[in-house]
Amino acid sequence: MIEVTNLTKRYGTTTAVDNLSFTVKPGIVTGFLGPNGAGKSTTMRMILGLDTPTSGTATVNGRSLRKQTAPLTELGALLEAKAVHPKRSGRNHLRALAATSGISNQRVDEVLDIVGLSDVADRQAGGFSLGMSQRLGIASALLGDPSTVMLDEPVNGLDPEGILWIRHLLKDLAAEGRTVLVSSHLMSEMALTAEHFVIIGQGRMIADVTAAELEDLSGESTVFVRTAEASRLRTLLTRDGVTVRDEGSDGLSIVGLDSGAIGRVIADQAIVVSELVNRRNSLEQTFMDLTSDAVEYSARTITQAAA
Amino acid sequence: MSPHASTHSSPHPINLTDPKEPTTMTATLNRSTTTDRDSSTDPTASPTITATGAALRTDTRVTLSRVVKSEWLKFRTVRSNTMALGGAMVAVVGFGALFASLAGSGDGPERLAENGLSLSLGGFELGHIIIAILGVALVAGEYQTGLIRTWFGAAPDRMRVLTAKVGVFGSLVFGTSLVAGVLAFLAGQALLPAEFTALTLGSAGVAQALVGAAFYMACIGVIGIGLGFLLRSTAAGAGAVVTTLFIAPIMVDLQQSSIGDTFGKLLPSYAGSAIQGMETTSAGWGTAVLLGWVIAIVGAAAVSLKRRDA
Repeated sequence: MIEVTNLTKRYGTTTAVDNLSFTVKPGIVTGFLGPNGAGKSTTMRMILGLDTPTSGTATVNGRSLRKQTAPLTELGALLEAKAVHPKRSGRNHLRALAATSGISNQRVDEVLDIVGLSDVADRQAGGFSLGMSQRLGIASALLGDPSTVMLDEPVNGLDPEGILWIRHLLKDLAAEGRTVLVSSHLMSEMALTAEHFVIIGQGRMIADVTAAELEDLSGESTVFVRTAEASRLRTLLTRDGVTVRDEGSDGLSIVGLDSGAIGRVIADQAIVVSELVNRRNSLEQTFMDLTSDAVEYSARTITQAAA
Repeated sequence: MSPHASTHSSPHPINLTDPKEPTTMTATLNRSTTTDRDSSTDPTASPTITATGAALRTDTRVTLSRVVKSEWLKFRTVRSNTMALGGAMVAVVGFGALFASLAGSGDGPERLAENGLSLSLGGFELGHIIIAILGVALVAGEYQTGLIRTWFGAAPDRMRVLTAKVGVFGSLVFGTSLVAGVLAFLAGQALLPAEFTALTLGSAGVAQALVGAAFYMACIGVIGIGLGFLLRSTAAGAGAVVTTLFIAPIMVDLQQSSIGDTFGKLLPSYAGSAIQGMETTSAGWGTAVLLGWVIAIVGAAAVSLKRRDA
């Protein structure tokens, strides 16, 4: 379990993280989303005890990581995939990391097997592709069999097979009852794995929601109907609280009625339709809408600075 | 047991259809999470990620001796580290032997010609540069790749990491330098022309010179480690260490004044020489000055580690 309480980080006059509070619960994958520069990595660095918060706290299983006696078993983290000595082999990298906590070489072999690097583990890590480096980083996060796993943009650089693998891994980790926090700037990727979303922008909380709640934030759903009798249907549907717009000569988009209600009207009036479809804002679109203020704000400040 | 087999047989359907397609998105989000919840209560749910029996779950506390072991593993698993350390020792023995063999021939360094002991330890000068830069690079390199942050995540007590790095590199340099010094001395005795007084390891001043030379070398390595933590950059650290150890003495020598003379006695290079009994000032003075430098720089590194973000 990760608990972030009123966490703030300022660098000079820049506020990277602004009074963030959220809880990452065990048993599910939590997606940590925001545009680039939103403060995700800074937040994760504070959770890992690398950066000292200006104010507020970040704890893992009730204590700040710097006060943990066996940190690798509490929190396994991947922050930077390329954070390896280029001339040290992947296996030796893990062995040295394991040694800090008395973790055996047997466990090192085990995590190499889990991430699928067993065959290349004796090669110098500097020669690893970004995808292989991500796997090595994930292996180091799993070393201590931790109750909490925190990965910063783990999908970067992975090939489609690797992306599929990581989705399964994240779900498996959560299914085992672990706390899983994964950051990404891609909503479409997180939508496939996460059940809870923490969305930030400009260091501030934008949404701390379940998948279902996020969908509700997607705004009103639209129903699209294609029929030769578009004008007749429009008259039948137009009433208080319902907006009907023409889309081309034979299309209608309707807001304010669900597809079932529209279907009943169509059946009652025996109107022939060639298409009836629910149109939802994609989560990607919702994410963009939610974070657009944050992004626009930064664009504006750049313009102001230039002027 | 193949862990992949079981990882891939996850109960979740793989959804490869375009996530922008509206109905697909809804279906994905509304996927039942009941299976996840149920399996979390089943201890045998996934044997893949959990450590198997003896592999873990004993005692995973971070201790100083474990961090020392980890630092030692890190040092010896990168060939350029062992090559640099070995190279420094080859320089100590090789140049010591070279200076000894050239002594009295008119080609050797005249300044040292009257003392066969200091002559055969002349190779330490080159060794100092290598060890100083190696010390800086060991730490600064970890900052530059980000490796240090992985380490602080695993061993969050930064003083422990500093202590382990200083201890491992300091004792490694001391031990190897002592061996290299003895070899250089023996080679020197074998190669020095007959007009030099023959010395043995038991002769007056020899043991002090050898232990002093190794101690000075270790202090240089530790100063390098400290500067690595302070400056976090190999280039800046190497510049600082070369300036302090090698350029400052030359500047002071050029000064030719009483102030310059007093200042010169506070330099690490002078103290290192005094420890070996090769200056008019006592070895005790040399030890005090050298330790003063080590404490100041490692102390500053400790303060920086406590205050600055990693």
